[in-house]
Amino acid sequence: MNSVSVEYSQKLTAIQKSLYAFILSMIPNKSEAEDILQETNLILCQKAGEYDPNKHFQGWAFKIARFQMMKHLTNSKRNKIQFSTDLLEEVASEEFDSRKIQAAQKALSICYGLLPKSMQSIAKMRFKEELSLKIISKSVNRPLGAISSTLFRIRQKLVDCVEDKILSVESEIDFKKN
Amino acid sequence: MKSQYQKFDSLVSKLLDGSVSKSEFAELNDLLVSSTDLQHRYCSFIRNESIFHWENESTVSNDESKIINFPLFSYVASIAAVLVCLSSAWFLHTKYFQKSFFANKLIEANQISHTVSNEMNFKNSQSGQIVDHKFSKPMHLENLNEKAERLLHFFESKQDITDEGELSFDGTLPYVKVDELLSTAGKSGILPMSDGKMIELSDMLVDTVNQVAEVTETLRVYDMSSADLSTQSSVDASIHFNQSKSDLSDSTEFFLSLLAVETAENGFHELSSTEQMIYGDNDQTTWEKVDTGFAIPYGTEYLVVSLKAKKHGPSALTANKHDFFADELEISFAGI
Repeated sequence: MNSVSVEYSQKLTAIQKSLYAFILSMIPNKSEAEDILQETNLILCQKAGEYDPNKHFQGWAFKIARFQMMKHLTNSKRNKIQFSTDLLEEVASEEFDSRKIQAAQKALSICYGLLPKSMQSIAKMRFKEELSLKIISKSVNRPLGAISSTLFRIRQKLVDCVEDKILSVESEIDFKKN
Repeated sequence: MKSQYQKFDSLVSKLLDGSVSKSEFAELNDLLVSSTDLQHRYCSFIRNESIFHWENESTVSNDESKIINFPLFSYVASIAAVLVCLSSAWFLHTKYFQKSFFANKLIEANQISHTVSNEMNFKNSQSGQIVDHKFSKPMHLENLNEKAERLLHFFESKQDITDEGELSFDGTLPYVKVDELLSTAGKSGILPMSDGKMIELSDMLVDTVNQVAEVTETLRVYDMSSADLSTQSSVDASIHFNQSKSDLSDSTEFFLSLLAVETAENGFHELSSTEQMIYGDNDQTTWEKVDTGFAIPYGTEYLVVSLKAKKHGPSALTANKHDFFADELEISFAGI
């Protein structure tokens, strides 16, 4: 078997965020999504020789990720909360495109800075430090329900703000490229 | 549409925090099936969540400031992914890939993230004891209550356990279970789910100053020392919770936790743990299910399965006027 080319490895590295987002959308559990991402990466390496460079790498990678997700769900013995793997297929391919993620990242950076200070501290604990709601609740001395509600409002604000800004950010990125 | 977004967004946020119930998930699923617009919105939530969780510097332009610094694991995993691919011919031809340097780095990174999480728990613990978990020193384990320690010592000492639990086997895997000692028939308006018996949790310990009440019950301790553990070994657990009627609107938090330990010089050392929480409601006719699972770390000697119920605020002060129940505990192992 031939070694994987540097070019293929670069494509693989570049797509990690898209792959993770795609897996997380189907299996909304971060540690499971990470496990599946690792498994997908290994399969992508094993099957590197089968990839047709004329075809879209994301489509190829997503297909393998989908297979790994189905395998994971089949092997799991407990009744997990799960979406059907074909539910978000079309939309996910568009929304988790590398270019879109790049634009969303920049937009999210702007939107995060616009959050009220009180929300920023909780957002930081949840998203940066990945603390559980229980620990955040203890840290800020507020009930769990209140933390859950605040996170809901934070996420909603960020989604609305990113959607508002993403088109202009995408145009800016395209403009800088040309 | 805006009011529909409110409900939808709330469900997605709960999903991302791991606190969505089965019925809420079904509702979310129905909303997604019914609307491509909502599918796009859902993907926006996921995209933001994943951007926060993961960063790959090669796709970020130089003048972009990071929103946040990403965990060590993400860097190790992405670097390992590239290095694995560059050396794939060597890795794939050896049957010892699982023990390879890069596979171990991924496992190590996973353990680091658990270690960091556990460090946070220790630093915030009420006992205030801060211990350097990374150097595997024996320690007081916040997550290990006295009952669990006694059950663990049973396996160590092989003495009689009759007052504390009952020895049983899952295949060839020995374990001590406490279910029978806590079991009750229908009570306080709650009926067991299937076999006429359910678990009743003991009275809560009430902290009147901080207005917190909680009780922890150790249900099972598995002796994993004879199990053939590998990187594919995992355990999944689920249980259902219910509570007697409360006049206050606050809900109870119910937790299901798994704890992997090994013996150490002066006691036990925690290798990994996981905990999942769900809110109970005031509807005695329905049981709320919570499930959790994790990869069993290599070297695990015992696996402890525990439940916890907790209340905050004014309702904590009257916690012992109410009863808390669990039923249909299911534990399944894979890869051992």
